Amino acid sequence: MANDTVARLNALLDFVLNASENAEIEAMDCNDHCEQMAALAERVAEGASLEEILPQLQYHMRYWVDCREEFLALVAVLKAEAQNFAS
Amino acid sequence: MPEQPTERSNEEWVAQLTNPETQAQALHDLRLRLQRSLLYYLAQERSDLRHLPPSEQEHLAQDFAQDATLRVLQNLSHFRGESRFTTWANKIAVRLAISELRRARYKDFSLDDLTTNGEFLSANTNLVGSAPPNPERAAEQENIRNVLRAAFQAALTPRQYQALVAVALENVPMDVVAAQLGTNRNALYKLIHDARKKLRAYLEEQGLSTDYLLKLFEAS
Repeated sequence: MANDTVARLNALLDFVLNASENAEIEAMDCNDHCEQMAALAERVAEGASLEEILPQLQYHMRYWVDCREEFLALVAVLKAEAQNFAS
Repeated sequence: MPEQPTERSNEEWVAQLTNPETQAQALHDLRLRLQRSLLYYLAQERSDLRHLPPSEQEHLAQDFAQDATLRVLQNLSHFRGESRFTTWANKIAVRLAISELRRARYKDFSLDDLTTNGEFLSANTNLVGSAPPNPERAAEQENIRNVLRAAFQAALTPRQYQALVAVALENVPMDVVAAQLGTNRNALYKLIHDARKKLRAYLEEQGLSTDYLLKLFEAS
């Protein structure tokens, strides 16, 4: 329990002190119709490294889990679509 | 054999979705395509939904695809062709599905349960004595926990407190928090950044550096 408390405090402090604050990335994450995120997911699904294309987004997704979940889900769908959804 | 949607270029999708003579068929194909993507996502990528019978997964995919198709149509004027049209549509569909699933999962959650007295920082367990190899460090952690509790109470508004604790500590999805605060994701980012800025200023005033704080609580 105590270790859990320490871990939670560590996570909270890390978020307060280090989480990404990048208006450009947040604008990409904030609406339905932004195409930049779609274009990036397309490139990652084709094998490009997000760390190389846009490291700021990689860093952003380390702290903002909603954005990460949606991006990774889209990449997974695009990869499956490229394989015609063959499992 | 399942019906296969017709392939189109970006220009063809936009033209056919905006032409009354071709719109119905284009919408049908788009919905079918999104349904296929969503079914894959729900059945293969969501471990929490694998227990659902296939018919229920299909039903969910159909509902989400229906809503997503309408949303694509509503946003069509924003499409610039930076990605494939179908990628853009899939982005809208995946985001819609994930948002709906989050809302369902947190339907009983209320931000009001996160009181503003900093109780999450006064855990039942006492840090002092809980780490026998280094009691001095545990005492230091306990001291900083008290500082943090004071910081949360002194520096943040109730709204900032709820947003920060929900997102950073309780991992509540931003959509859920934003909806309960009557705002959107963009404004929630700002609310949380403002809260973080106030806390950092408070901690700085106490002479506590980032390095010191992070090292104190990092896994030993």
